[in-house]
Amino acid sequence: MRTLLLLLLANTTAVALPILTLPNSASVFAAAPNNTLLIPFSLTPDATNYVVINSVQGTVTRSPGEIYSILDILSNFVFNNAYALAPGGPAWTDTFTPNLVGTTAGAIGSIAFPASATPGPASGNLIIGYELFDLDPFVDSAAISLGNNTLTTLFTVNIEAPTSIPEPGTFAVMGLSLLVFCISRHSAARATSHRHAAQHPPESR
Amino acid sequence: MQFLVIVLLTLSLLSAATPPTNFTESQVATGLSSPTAMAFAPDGRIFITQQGGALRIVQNGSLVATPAITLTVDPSGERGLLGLAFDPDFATNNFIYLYYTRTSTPRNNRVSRFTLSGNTISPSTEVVLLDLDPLTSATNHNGGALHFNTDGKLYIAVGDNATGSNAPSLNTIHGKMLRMNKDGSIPSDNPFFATTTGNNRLIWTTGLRNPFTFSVQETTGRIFINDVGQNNWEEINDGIAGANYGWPSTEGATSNPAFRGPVYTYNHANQFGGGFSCAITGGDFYNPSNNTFPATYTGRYFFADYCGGWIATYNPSSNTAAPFLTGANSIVDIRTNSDGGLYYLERGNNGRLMRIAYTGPLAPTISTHPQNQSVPTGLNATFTVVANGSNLSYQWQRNTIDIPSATSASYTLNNVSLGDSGAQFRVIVTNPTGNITSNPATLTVTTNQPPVPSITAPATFIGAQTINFSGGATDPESGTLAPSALRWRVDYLTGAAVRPFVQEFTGAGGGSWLVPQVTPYTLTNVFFRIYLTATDPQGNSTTISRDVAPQVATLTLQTNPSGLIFTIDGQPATAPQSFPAVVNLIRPIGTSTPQGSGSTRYNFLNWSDGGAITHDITVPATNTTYTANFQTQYQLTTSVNPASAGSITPSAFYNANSVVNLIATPAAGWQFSNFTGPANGATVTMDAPKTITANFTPYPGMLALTIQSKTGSGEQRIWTLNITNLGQGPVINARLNSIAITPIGTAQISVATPLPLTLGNIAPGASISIPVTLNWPLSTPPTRARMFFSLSGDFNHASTVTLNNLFR
Repeated sequence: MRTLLLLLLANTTAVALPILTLPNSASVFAAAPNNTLLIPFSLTPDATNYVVINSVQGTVTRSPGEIYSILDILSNFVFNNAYALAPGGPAWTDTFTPNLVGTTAGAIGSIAFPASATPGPASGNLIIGYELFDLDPFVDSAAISLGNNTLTTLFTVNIEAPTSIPEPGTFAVMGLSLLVFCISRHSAARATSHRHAAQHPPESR
Repeated sequence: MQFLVIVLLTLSLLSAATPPTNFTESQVATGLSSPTAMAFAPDGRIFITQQGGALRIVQNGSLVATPAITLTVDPSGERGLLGLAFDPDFATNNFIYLYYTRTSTPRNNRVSRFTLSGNTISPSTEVVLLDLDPLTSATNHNGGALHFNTDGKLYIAVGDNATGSNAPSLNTIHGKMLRMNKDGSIPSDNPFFATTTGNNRLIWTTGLRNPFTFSVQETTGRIFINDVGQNNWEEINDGIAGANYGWPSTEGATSNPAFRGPVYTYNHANQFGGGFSCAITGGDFYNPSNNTFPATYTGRYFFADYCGGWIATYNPSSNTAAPFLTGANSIVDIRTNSDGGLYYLERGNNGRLMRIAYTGPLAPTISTHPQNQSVPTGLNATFTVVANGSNLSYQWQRNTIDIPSATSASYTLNNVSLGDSGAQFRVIVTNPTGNITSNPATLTVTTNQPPVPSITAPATFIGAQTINFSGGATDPESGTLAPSALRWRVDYLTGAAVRPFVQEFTGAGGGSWLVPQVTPYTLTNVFFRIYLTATDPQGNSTTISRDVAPQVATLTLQTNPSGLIFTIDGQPATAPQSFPAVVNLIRPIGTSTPQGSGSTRYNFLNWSDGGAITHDITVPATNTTYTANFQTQYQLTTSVNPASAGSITPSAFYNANSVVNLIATPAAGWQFSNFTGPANGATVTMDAPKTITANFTPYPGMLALTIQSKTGSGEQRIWTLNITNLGQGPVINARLNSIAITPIGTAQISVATPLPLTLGNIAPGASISIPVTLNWPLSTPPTRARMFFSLSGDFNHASTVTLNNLFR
């Protein structure tokens, strides 16, 4: 009975499903060959239910035969930190800022462009897979799944002409270091208060 | 014994007949369904009627599968399609006459003429000649035989319809032999023409019970009628106009002067080495144009008994009969063929047509006797005989006395003198089987010497040449003979054939003719032969001849490349060919294009003399070669791999050694990879047949995977996965290979659905859904998992999709 009621509620509140936005202007990014692009995001919670991110998938197509896939960061973060986006809270916005060491900034995913990447505009698509629960499934064993769904968005990457500075791989090494730092910090926070973390997205503010 | 009963007694077991020593029999056809009669067409085909209405043909030793026609007949009892005859002018009009029982009410027998076309008769060609009197309910005694006699009239044997009183009556045509013109009209010289009316004027003889068969002796026109008897006697009756054979008053021999008794009769006891006899059902005279039996059989009448299974011979000269063959099964007809064989038709033994041939030795016969000779003194006289047979020896006689050493087919008496005049010469021809003496020929010797003619003419000819010839003759007694004593003729000899060319003429000292330039006789074994016969005032003549031979040159026909087909006089041959040809004849040469087969072909370019592909040449006086030049072409065979991934320059023939540009165009979602085969980059040199394949690979596909829905309860869950191709090209032959699961918790999660799963081709932007069953044990807290989905496809497509945070 409870499950049926929750399913009905989920259906009637479909308009309040989470919303994914890419905060860059017109969802346009810039990337240099031989560098890794990290994609910031903003994820507005569902009005009623908990959101658990399953996967981040997508591609960036520069030209026929030149296609790059998105490496999933967000669902790995959620997996490793047992994190559910609590209902009704503020949007979870993370902008990868490699120069701001010590923040909890994250990214939805990354795209590695090789040195041979052709400069110019590339079109990208991105799919987030998620599952809705009435309670935080990481905490409450009574949580009931209300169904799976996806969020899809399109974006553009302007691949820049290659330059000699910084040295190839610098950004990638820095980004990876910061990512490891952020994940370790979130894990520590989850260990102290799961429920709190669920009701308040990991703060970067 | 009723014939119907006989039919019912037909044996079905196959059996072999026993002909006399030195005779053999062979099967010509089998599988005939209830055959009734047969006849030989002038062209060698054998036509057989089947009671059920089908007219079958045996051609070149094989039974033609489809009947020439199948008439709608009443086949009950002894009714049906019963007789046939060929028109005397069949070779030109293709008329065939049939006797059959109609299905009308009441039933009646009918004689119709049909026209044969090939091996088929259209029913629309039927011309009804005679509808016989209506039949009663009795189905037996229909007769049915048809034959033309040498007088050109059609004779028709008709039974009494099982009513004996019909036979002597002139008010019905039942129980009679009929005679009609072949157009169906009634001959006015029929014996009862003036005393009867209507169809009864057809009556030729009366008093017949069931004349199932009869035969005409071709050399004399004599007719023997085989009248099937009742309880005791079978009859062979001599067909005489107006005769009454006595049925039903008498059967068998009779002394009643009102009736004409049979020439031969036999009772139903065991006869001629066979068993119980019951019905005479076939007979024919042995007088074939090609007599292959021993001479003692010539003119004999072969006849058969249906129940006895035997064939006997009746000798009209001695009025005696003798056994010939036993062991046959239900004979219904006997016919002598022009090939010298005796054929009989069996209703038993699965319906067979058998042929009896003589294989023993034959005594010699003479086809050309020696001719009388008139020879001047001092010349030679030659007598010749033409004899037939094997192992022949000759002995010539002069006035019935053997001539020493005169033992060949010809005998020449040299240097005759007046003392030889009046002598008679004959020859005795002998072989191990017998001998024959020729007619005598008389030699007349004259004192007058024959004239001596001479001919002047060219030794050779060419096409379109006018040949002038002249000549004369001198006579020892009369001196130079006038042109009126000269007789000329010119023959054209082509191989073994002699063709009159200039008709015989007299009164001239010569003449001329124009050699044709176009002739069907294109070989060089041809020549003209001029004959001149000079006759002196005493009537002695001498004939001489002079040959005019062709002037010949060698023609060579070649093709480039060699070995292709050309035609000469319309006949194909393989180049090169050299052959002698008569000079100045016009002859067509040609070839065909394209030639060759498979992946190499040759297109005609030109002839060495500039003529069209087929044109006439005039055979030159010198040896000459004509060459047909061809362009060699090789086939370029192209294909695309995979088949629907794009296109390539189409398969076609190209001139030898040409360079062909290869153009490969990918289909949407595909990109060209490379050419395989003897390509040189994007070109191929056509120095041989070539096969090129354009290989394409798809633009990269990119498979994304999400959870579409979860169903099920308990420990077994069905997850529907949504797989989307986010890439630029198709994923070909996509497969979900494995699912690796990392559980968070204690439960062991496994995949129940057998893997790999075949997903087929997934176009760019397309999605598919697939159910996967998981075994996920219940546990507390709920187990969570991370799953790695391994996907692959052809063209090296491989991807792993990770789904985190999966709850039961």
